[in-house]
Order: sequence, then structure tokens, then C-alpha cells
Amino acid sequence: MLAAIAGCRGARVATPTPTEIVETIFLIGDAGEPDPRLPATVLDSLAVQAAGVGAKGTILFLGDNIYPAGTADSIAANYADVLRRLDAQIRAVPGGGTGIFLPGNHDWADGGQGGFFGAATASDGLFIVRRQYALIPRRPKNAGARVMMLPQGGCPGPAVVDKGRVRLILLDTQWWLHNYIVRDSLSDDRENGCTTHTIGEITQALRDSLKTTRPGQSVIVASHHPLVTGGPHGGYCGAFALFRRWANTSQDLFGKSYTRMRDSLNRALETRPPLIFAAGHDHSLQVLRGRTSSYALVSGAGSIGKGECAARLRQSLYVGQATSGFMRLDFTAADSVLLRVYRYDGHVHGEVFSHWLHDRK
Amino acid sequence: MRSMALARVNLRRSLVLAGLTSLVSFVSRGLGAQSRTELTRTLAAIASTPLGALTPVGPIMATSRDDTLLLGFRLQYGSRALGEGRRLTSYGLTTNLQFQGGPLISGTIGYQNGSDICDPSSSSCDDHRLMAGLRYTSNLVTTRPFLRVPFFTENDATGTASLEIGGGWAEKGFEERQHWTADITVPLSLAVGQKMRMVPFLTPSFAVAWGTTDRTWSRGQRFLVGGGITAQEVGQWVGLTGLDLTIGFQRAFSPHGTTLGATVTWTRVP
Repeated sequence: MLAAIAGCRGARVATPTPTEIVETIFLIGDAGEPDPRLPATVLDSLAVQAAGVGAKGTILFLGDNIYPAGTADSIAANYADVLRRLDAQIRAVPGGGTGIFLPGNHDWADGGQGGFFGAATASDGLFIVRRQYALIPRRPKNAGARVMMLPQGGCPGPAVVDKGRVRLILLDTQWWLHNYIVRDSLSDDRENGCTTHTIGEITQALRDSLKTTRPGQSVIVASHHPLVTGGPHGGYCGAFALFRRWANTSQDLFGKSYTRMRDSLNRALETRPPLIFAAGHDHSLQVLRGRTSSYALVSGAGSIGKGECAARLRQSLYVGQATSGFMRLDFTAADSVLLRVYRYDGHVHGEVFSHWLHDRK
Repeated sequence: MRSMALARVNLRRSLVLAGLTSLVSFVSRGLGAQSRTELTRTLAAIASTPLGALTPVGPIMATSRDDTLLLGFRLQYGSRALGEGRRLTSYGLTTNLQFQGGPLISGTIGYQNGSDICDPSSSSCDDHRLMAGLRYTSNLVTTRPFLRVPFFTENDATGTASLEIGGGWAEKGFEERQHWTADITVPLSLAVGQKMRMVPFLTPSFAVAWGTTDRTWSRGQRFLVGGGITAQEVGQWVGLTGLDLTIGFQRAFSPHGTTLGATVTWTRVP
């Protein structure tokens, strides 16, 4: 009875056979701080599982791929460490598989400063993230693996990737929060391949991406920043949680820029709510019922030792706190989607939660 | 002459008798106005208002920050033994408003029945009376997971400290025409569990109580300790979100100072 109340071991369901699975998406976020002194349990386990599904698998790295300040210059003293952090993740992408890196705030130099009067300099986050975009495809990888950063080169997105019966809609949400970007139609980023330049263009493109799915296609919208979380960025945990509600920090849900982004994205998502809104940012594993998506997933526990508290919200179906791990989504030919959560800490190693997802919107 | 003197004496006797009768009557009315329990005035005020008549419910369960305003309801029951078979039984209906997933404002309307606590001739004591209360609750700090609890093996328990500020009112009872209380409470809790959340809590309080007769106010203060355990999201087993069940106590350090009770809370989660 107590075990049932605890809800930890009874929360798993029957799993599909490998032949029933047509597509697999792995969600891992904030994996940019692999500690060389600790066993790389999370990335090793991810690599083994991804190798098991081969070309049917896609790993979404949900941002903060390189802590603490993104991709350093190649002449910088810490450049070797930057490569080590990035390579550890790229190695998890198996031959034939796809690895997509989304940018997070740390990949933008953690909101690094612009130059005089906002004129961008080489230390600006926009340049740092473009450096990572260029670097990722050049790094050594498993034969046949495809790795890339999307949305590309500091563009806000959305970038759309169709993988069989799954549509991935990818957003660079740090673009909304970075201080030194001119967000108007005159800011010409076409040389970097950006197709959207204003908030209106982004939300309209997002609406269009949601509407133009094929019949039977499930939609995952992914970004680094979550729209709902019970972690510190949501103002819930830690001694300063109450103050963070009023501190107007750009990286917390109550910040002005963040609130504008949440409101804009939520309104766009209401057009046709996707099955999943996936994000990282908070270093925990959370499965929640979403308001503008059927499910909201927070998978930001990719680095061992960075696990944080996460409050259980009324909307929570699963919360893994002070832990590391990732999530796995298996799409079957029968239009079913199975979510599995894997965590690695002092309590458990392996699968801890599974749930068949249903389109509730 | 003799008959007139006799009449005067009789009149005097009648006046004295009438005076004595009035005095006895007045004295008996004053005594009758007092309650037939041994509660002090302060404790009587606390026992009459929602603070002491009902039991605490512990910390708030957070919701998404996107939930601008959530509406919820609470059904509360509290019972306090007063000795010699007497008992205070209270029922409360509380409406909760939760703002942006965090702070809660609760308004309570309640009814209290005190079995055989009033003298039948008392005009300022009623066995059946109304009470009301208003509370503001906000969680202050949630700790990192820090305590391993048997059976709840997946996540360590987290601790939460909250702040509650409350006020209460009750109509005539215990020799007063009205009772008022104000309190400040710091609920402390642990939380464990995944699907359903078990939350044992303690609610140390400092309360100030006022009672008023027709002409005078009296005031006193008390420390109280409440506590209990809440099963949050107990409705998950039947697919109902937002349902909590609490059993608790509220203790003022005095004979007959403990209220036991239960609360069912439902919050509408979109």
C-alpha cells in the first residue's frame, strides 16, 4: 500500500516491442557540464539506448550544451574543455541517428554583454552561439550520425523537422531574452539564414507549423526555456524563491521578457495545441499536464551533480528532483506514444516512470 | 395609629423583600450569563473562531504560474471536548483563491454547536452560532530534498516553511457578544511521495483574541500549536485532480484546549 502511495514502482506500463516502434525521440537538457571525475552514466545510458534504435532515433539536446558561457574562442585557455563537453554529447548520437542541439542561455554566453551602445562584439552571446552552430557539424562523430544545431546561428526559429509521424518544431527561446537583439523587421539576419525577425513573425510561423501537420502526425515543440516548471526558475524552490518572483531576472518565469515570451508562445500554441512542449533549463525531470500542450516536459537533468529541487505542482504527473537523467518517447505505428523517464542518482538507476500519452486538446 | 404603623412596617418589609428578590434575580442573571465551561476568555474566543474551532490544513500545494486565479473549496470539521460531556462541534465552508500558482486567500463561513455550554437564561451565549474567517497563506521557502523516508524511495523529502496571517470572528458565545481573533502562523512541513503526496505539518501560531460584551472589550493572547497530515492529490486514484484530505489538530496549552478535525479540499485545476 505504501509503495503504491509512494508511486515510484507502480508507475510503469507495458512497453511496445522494438518492431512496433517507428520513431524514438530522446530528450536531454543541460548536459553541458559532464564532470570528468564522475562516471558519465547518463550520456552512456543514452548512447546505449540510442544505439538500440539506430536510424529511428533522434536525440534532442535541449540547450545549455556548454557551461558556463558557451563556445569559447579557439585561442582561449578553456577551449579544450569546451570541446570535451560538446564531444561527450555528440558521441551519444549513434551511427545513422540524428542529434539536434537547441541553444540555451549558457550557449548564448549566459546572456553575455553586447558592445558599446549595444553594438554586438565578439563577446556577445549572439556571436558565441553562432560559433557553436558552426562548430557542432565539424566535431568527430559516429559514422553515419548527423548532428546539427537548430534553430541555426542565433535565429529564433521555429525550425521544423519532420521525422516520419513526428513533427519537431524547434525554438531558440534565448533570442527572446537576450538583451542586445534588435527585434524588428529591419534587423537583417538573412545572411545567417534567419527567416523570422520579429515576435509577430515567429508566432505566425509557429501557428503555421502547427496547422500544416500531416494526418496522424504528432507534434513536439521544443525549446530550452519551459513554459511551466516547478523548479527554481518557476519561483518555487530554494531560499530565494520568493525574491525571484519579484526580481525580474530574464531567466525566470516571472521576468518581464520571459513573461512576454510565455504569453506570446502560449497564444500561438492555442491555435492547435501540440502533444508535447519539451524544455530543459531547470535541472530536474518533470512530467506535467500542459495548458497549451497536452503535456509539458522538463528534462534538464543531463549533467550529473547539477540536480535541483522541483516542487510537485497540481499539474505534475512525475517529478524527479536532485537527480540526473533523460526522457524517451517511443512512437508506434498504431498512433500511440509512450513516455519513459530514466534517472540516475543515489536512489535509482534506470527507468522510473512510464506513461502512454494521449492528445488531450 | 397602630394599624398605620403596622402598614408601614409591612411596606418596609415588602420593599426589603422586593429589593432582595431583585438583587437575587440580578445576581443570578449575571452568573447565568457566564458560560458553563471552564475556558478562559481568551481560549473561549479562540475556540469560537475558525482559528481554534477548525483545524489547520498545512502548506499550499503549488500550481502552474500560468494559472492566474484558481478557485477552490474546503469542507472543514472540528471538534473539541470541554469536559463533563460537553463538546464544541464546528463546520466550515471555505472558498480559496490561489494567485499565479502561489499565494492563497481563504474566506471561511462556519457554524458552531456547543452542546449544553450556555445557561438557558443567558442572552450573550448561544449554543448555535456563526463564525467567519479570512486567511492569507504563502509558501516562503522550499528546501532541497534532504531526508530519506522509508517506502518513499524515489525522492528525498523536501521541507517547506510558509506564512499565514488570519483573522476570525464569531457571534455570541461564552458570555461575550462577539469574539475576534488575529493570528500569525508559520506552517512547517515535509513532503514525500510521487503520485499522491504525503505532507505531515506543524503550525505554530501566535494569536491575539478579543471578546466584547455590550460595554467593554477584553483582550488576551496565546501560543498555539497545530499539526496533522495532508494527503495531497488523493483523487489521483480516481482520476480527479485537485483533491486533498487532511486530518489535524489545533492545540492551545490549556485543559480542554485541543480541537481535532478533518478537512477535504478541492481545487479546480484547468
